[in-house]
Amino acid sequence: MDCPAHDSGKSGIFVSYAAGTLSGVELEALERHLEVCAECRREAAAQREVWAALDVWTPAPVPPDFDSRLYERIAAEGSRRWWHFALRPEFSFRFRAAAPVAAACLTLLVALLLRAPQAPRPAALPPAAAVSTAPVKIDADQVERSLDDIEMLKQMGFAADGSDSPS
Amino acid sequence: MTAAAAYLERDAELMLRVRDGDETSFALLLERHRRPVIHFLSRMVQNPAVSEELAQEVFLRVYKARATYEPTAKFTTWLFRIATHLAINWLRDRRNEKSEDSLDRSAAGEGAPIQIADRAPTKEQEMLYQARLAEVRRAIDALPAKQRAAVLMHKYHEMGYAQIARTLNCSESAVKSLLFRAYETLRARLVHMA
Repeated sequence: MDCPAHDSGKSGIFVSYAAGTLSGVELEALERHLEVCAECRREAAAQREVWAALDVWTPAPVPPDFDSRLYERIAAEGSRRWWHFALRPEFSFRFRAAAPVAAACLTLLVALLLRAPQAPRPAALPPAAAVSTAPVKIDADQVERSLDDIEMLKQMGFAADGSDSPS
Repeated sequence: MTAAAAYLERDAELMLRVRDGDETSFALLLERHRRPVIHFLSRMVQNPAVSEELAQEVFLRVYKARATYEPTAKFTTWLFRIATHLAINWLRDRRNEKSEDSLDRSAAGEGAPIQIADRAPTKEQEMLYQARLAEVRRAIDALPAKQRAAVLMHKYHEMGYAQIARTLNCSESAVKSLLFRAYETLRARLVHMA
């Protein structure tokens, strides 16, 4: 193989070599080359040292309440979803064009409802005058008593027109 | 079908079930992927509180996007793409605010010394380990964000060039170039540790 140390197109081979991801054929070819090329041996060794140095960084543990906090956030998102969605700029943009159409449809619906044939109204109540024209039963005794009262008042000196001057 | 392929298909299958309203499948996806996502983000931003917050955001976005999910790419590629995007945005926004103490702050349990068999490390071993860890963290932190993401995915998550390329939305040759330059920089900074 051509010397990777002098071939910029193959410079990444040492990265793959250190990572252990070289295919069988490539690995065999490189290892044969390393036996005869001191420069490439140094490159390969340096890359392996970097690779090993990075192993020192062990990862942080997962916080124990990670899942519960995530589910809380998901629940919070769900509860405010409908009005948040309505207030989002992309929602406004998406439905801005549809707003006039929606308004026109609403107007048409109101107009149709107002012009729709109406059910017959219940019969109107009779006017008050008609009620008063109903036959009234006249008590004759009552009339006679009233006339007697008037006559008595006249005899006592009170005018029938309400004047209080004696006759 | 290989075990790895079956594992990946299982992710897509679970996500499709989440799309159909199966909450249990989301819990399974969380169980399978929360650890690598948190580890990746903790190394990317080197701040435990922020990395946890960003990891929460990753899974929240996955959940919110369930209705439109289509298994066009590996689930892990999608997951790491979201994580990388969030981390790079955070690093860009906080570039001027970053202080040295974020590097020196020891995360709870992060970089805990590896104990060999039943022997506890001596004080000197512990000090040496912490010094090496600080060097590595500084070296990684000094890398540009995209190189850093590529190295972390390559080194700690065993991703191949093709998957890193899809995650970072670039070509495989660009990934090889990113990794080569990143490892060259790390070599220069960590050579004294050999």
